[in-house]
Order: sequence, then structure tokens, then C-alpha cells
Amino acid sequence: MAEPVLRVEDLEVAYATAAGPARAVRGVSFAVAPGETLAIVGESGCGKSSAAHAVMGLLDARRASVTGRVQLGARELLGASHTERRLVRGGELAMVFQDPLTSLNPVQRVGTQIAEQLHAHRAIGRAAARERAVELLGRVRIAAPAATVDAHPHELSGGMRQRVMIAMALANEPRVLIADEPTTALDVTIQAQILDLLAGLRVELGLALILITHDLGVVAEIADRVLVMYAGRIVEAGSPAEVFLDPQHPYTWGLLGAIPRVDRPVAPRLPAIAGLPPSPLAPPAGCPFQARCPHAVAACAELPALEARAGALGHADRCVLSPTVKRARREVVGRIGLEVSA
Amino acid sequence: MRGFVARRMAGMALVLLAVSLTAFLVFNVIPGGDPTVRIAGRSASEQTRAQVREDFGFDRSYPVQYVRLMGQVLDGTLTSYPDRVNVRDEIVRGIPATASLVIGAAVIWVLFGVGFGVLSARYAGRWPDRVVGALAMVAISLPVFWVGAMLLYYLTYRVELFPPGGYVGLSEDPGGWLTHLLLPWFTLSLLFIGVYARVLRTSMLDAEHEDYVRTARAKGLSERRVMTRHVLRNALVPLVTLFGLDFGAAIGGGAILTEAVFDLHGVGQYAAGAVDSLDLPPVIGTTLYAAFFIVLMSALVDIVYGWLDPRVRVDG
Repeated sequence: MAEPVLRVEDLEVAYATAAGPARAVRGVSFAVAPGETLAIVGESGCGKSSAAHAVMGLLDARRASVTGRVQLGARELLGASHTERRLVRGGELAMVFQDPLTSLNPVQRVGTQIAEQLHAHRAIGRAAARERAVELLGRVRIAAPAATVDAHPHELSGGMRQRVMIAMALANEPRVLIADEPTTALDVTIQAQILDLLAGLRVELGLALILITHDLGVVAEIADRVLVMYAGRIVEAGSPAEVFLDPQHPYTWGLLGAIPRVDRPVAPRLPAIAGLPPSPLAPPAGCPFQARCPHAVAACAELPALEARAGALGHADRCVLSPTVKRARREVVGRIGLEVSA
Repeated sequence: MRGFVARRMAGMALVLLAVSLTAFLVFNVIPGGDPTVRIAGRSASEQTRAQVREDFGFDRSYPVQYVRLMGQVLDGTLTSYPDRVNVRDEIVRGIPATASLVIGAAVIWVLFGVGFGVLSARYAGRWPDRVVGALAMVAISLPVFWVGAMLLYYLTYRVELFPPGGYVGLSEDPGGWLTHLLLPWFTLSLLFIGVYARVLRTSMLDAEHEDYVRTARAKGLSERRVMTRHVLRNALVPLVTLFGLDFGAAIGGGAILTEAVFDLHGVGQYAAGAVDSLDLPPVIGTTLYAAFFIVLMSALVDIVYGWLDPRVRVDG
């Protein structure tokens, strides 16, 4: 695989709250190479968006402390000057957000919003910027780019708005594109189109794509690698096939079990994982899932490192149970139709 | 746009009708409202009073009186009861003073209100915000007549820095116009500066949490551009409504206290005098004048609103 363009190591994010620091991300490491799609999955509040915002440098330094290493190419971003970080944002490192309606400025024309991003990063004339905006809209497969450039966001459909967001993110030919739940706010048919677009652009432009989502279907479709996050930590990592077909961490079992299935008889109630995630104010030592895990043992008080299992290339998890025990437990769980919370 | 104007004109006519009717009815039910006594005098004989009633038409039914009054409003022949002075002429005479006062003060209150609001939002929770917040509360709480009186006492009587009230026309003496208006401008704008600074601070802090501001930061825009083009630009929208109505009310004669304290003889002071002497024609005249500006400004606000926020742009 190609040399990673973005390397994140030991990322920690803690928000200052009245009750003390809330540790949203705890020791997260990952790397993504050009042309690769890395998916980060997990439920709301697991820290996946916080990690993305920290990488982008969007967190307010007065409210959140970010430590660790974020390397873009050979450059270290954490600790870089404000101006340096600003120029990386929207330049080499771009981001697309969840809700394209609220993420676009309602009072500015689409073309203005794209041109603004160009102007922030390079010396470019008004006419040239407009021309480039039209070109970018065409690139994200908007049917009438020359007309759309003068539209206001409210005049566009949800899918069009997300395309505009993507066009904007691509304005300065980024090396890394972070898409934070890019399809969650869209209709199902539009979701597929946007995913196709992202997957296509990744190949065309050699983008490193980081896809943050809780939609496992999206992951299965376009990801090369998956990170499963829970309570601020990565609990399992691997290819979609490895993680979905041979999940190792009990949290991943629960996550996969919580997908409603249409190919099986309807369960009396949707399967869910019993209990709640631990508070980020006082995260447990050891495995973050132990309190909710039906298979927890004393050894769960220690959290093993995320290391690849013997025989599996990139598949790694942080569960202390031995692979044999896991396989046996998983089969039992699979037979009874997964844990159904009372 | 033409449809919008037509609809707004019709609405304006209705509002003016309702306002004049209300003023007329209120005037006729309040004790001491009977103009006969005021015109003929308290000790006038019953015969004189009957004569007055007949001359002024007070013996006719209320609808007839109202229609006659409105006719006089429309052809500009409305005159005050006791001294038979033409109401329209009096209002027109007050306009330069009122317009000078209100337009000047509006420029000041918008500039300083926005300036302090931005400062407050920029340093939210820190000392500049606290200082501005405290000053704004003081500015909002101080009564206008007290501020005016204090300024007059200290800056014209104790230290003769400014002329002691009155209005000088701009064309007659530009310097005098300015010196006569500086204190009134300050007095009138003080409250509005406080209000606008607070309102803008709140709406800027709200706007700052909008997703599109996060997008603006993700685009790598400079902090200055994020604040001006995204935060401030959107936060100014609610302020436009506020300004339209405040300005309409003040230019329509609502700056009564300031005009009275500094003896500017504007429309507001004229209205206050009319109410004081329970003189119906000028009360109706000034009320309609004020209502006209408020309706006009609210229509203008709608147009400007559509320009500022394309989502609510007026159609038709």
C-alpha cells in the first residue's frame, strides 16, 4: 500500500466542562493513504466526530484540549501556528458535514461560497474563481453547473446541496477529505448517489477519504478499512469483510446485531445493546465496553493494545478473550438471535 | 414587487383608518375630552356653548364628526380647536428638527450599537464584554429626561459648552445646527446603543454556533472573514427589523422626551402639546403622521429583509 498521507497517533480530545474534562477521544491512532477509504464507525457520542474535528483543527482551543500527533505528509499539525493550520484547512485537508442545508450559508450564493474557499488559499481573480466554481460543480455531477452557481442553497435539493458541499471541499485539490456522516441527512436514493460520487472522486483524484458514519451499509459498500470506535477508543480495526464477517470484539457483535434485518422473521423488538456507554467524565480503565459486555471477565480491567491477530493481515481488536473463546461465544450469540435488551 | 407594493398600500390604508378611528373614539370617551368647554371657556353661558357646538359640529353624530375630520385631514384644512392653527403647517414646521434629531441619532446608535455588539460577542465572557454589558444596562436603564436634564445642567449651565436647547436650521447655520443637536443626539441614541449592542451580541453568539460557521472555518477562511461574512452578516438580519420599527417610531414623532427636554419644537413635542391640551385635530394629525412612518418602515424592513435573507424574499 502507498505511503499514508495522514497519520494520526495517540489522539486525545478532552472537552472542558463544569464537571471536569470530558474525554471524548482516548488514544486513537490511524493512518490513511491516497486513494484509500477509511471508515470510522460507532454510535453517537463515541468520539468519531470529535476525532475528525480535532484532525481538522476545528475545536475551540479554549474549550477542548487536543494532544497526540496529526501528521499530514511530513508536517506535524498539532502545535502548528494558527495561520499554518488555517491554510491546511480547506486546502490539503477538507471536510464535508452531515447536514448540507445548515452547513451552507443560507444568504450566500453557491458560487460565492465556493469562490470564497478559493480566494482563501490562492491568488485568483473573480472571473477565474467563478469559472473554477462552475467546473467544480460539474465535477460533482451537477446537471446545470452554470445555472447552479448563482443559486442560493435553499433553491437546491438535499442531494444537490451535498454535492455543492463536496465541490467546495474539492476546491483546492485536497489530499485528504473527511466526510462526517455525509449521507445521514439525505434520502436513501440520494445517499447511494453521494456515496458513488465520493468513491469515484477518491479514485479520480487519488483522495484519501475518511468516512465517519454509523451506517454500516455505507461502510460495507465503499470502505477499504474500518475502525470501530466505542467510548473514545478504537476497539476493532480491519477490512469490512474481516470486521463484518469475523467480528472479534463483543461491541462489534452488538453493533452488527443492532441492524434491523428484513431477511429474517421480525423480532418482537429491535435488538439493542443493554445499558449505556460510560461517561466521558470518568471513563473506565481497561476495556470501555466491560460494563455492558455479557462476556466480561476479570482481565477486562486491562486494555490490550490494538494488535493484529496472528494470521490476519490488518485485522485487530482489543478484546482480551482468546479467539477460540470468542468464536464459541459468538456462535451462541448468533443462535439466540443476539442479545435482546429487556 | 408591484403586487407587494399594492398589498402594502392597502394594508397601510387600513392601519391608518384604524389608528384614526381609535384616536377619535378614545378622545371622545375620556373625561374632559369635550372640546366645547375648552373652546368656549369654563364660565361660558349655555348659549355660547350651544353656539360653539353648532359652529364646530359637535352637535352632530360621531360618525358625521369623524368623516368631517377625516375630510379635513385629506384636504389639509385640519385646524386645532382653540387657536385655529393649521395642523399640517405645524407638523411640516416640526419636520426639520425631528428629522435632524432622529436621522443623526440613528447613524450614531447604529454605528455604536453594532460596534459595541461586535466587541461584546468577540470577547464574550471576558472583560470587554462585561464592561460593555454593564454600560449597556446603564444606558438602557437611565431615563431619557434625566440624561437630557443632566447634560443640560452640566454642559450648558455649569460649563457653557453647548447652547441651552432649541433648534437651528441646517441651511441657516450649519455650525449652530450641529452644536444644538450633539447633546440631543447623544441623549436619544444612548438607549438604542445599549439595546442594539445587547441584541447583536446575542444574535452573533447564536450565529457562531451555526453549522455554516463551522463550514466557513473548515474552508480555511481567516477569522476576520468568518466573523464578518458569516457571523455578523447573518446576525444583522434581526437587527434590521428592530431598526426599522425604532426609526419609524422616532421619525414619526416618538422622540417626545428628547425633543421636549432640548426644546427642539419637533413633531413629537407638538404631539405632546396637543395631548396636553386635549386638542383633537392635532392629536389625530400627529397620530396619523406617526402611524404612516411606522407602516412605511415596516414595509421597507420587509423589502430589506428579502435582500438580506433570500429565503424570505418577497414575491409577486
